[in-house]
Amino acid sequence: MIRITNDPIDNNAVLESVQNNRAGAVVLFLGTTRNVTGTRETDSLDYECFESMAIKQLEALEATARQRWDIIEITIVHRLGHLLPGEASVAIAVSSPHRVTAFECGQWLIDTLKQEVPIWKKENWSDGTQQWVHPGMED
Amino acid sequence: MTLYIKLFAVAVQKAGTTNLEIDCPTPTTVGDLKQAVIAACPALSEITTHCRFAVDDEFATDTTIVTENSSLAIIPPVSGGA
Repeated sequence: MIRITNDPIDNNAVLESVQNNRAGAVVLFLGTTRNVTGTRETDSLDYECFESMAIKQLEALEATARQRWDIIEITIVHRLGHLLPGEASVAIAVSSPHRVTAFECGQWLIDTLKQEVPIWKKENWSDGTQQWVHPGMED
Repeated sequence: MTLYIKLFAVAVQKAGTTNLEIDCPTPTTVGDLKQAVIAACPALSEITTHCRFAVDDEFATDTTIVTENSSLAIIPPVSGGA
């Protein structure tokens, strides 16, 4: 299941969506809002996305993962909008017959999402300034 | 032909719009479109080398063909996922 939402992520619903009697392992990854980056403090984050392409890219990630690993279910939920420290912006759940597969697949999904899915975050720093985050691009 | 290019994040900040209008003969290529974008909106020139272009919701290369019906976007380095 692939979903982009403006609502808080329901962790239990994400877990339930991948549960299956054939599964020997369920891995859940939550990406949560950190309140410190280096020496700077974050008040909040804002996420925006290019939705039609983001959905297509997330579906492609699921399809590739299913080709590479023996996976039963995959759920990826990304939240948009305004997030406070501690809140989850992304949840990835994977169920598989075996734990090694579930861990590897979950790691690959979040690593690849962070490189290929058109979603951006803006840091609202505690000093009142704002900054879009673009890895590899100097401001 | 007027082409419309969706902008996001820092590209919106630089260009001051979420939807860039470019006059450009079609069909063209992404490579030529990049030059047209920089000419029409010099403020984007400092970021385009770091950005990818998307055509019809897929990452494009400089040789990807662009027609008047293409859905176009400039994709700055992404930062989703926490």
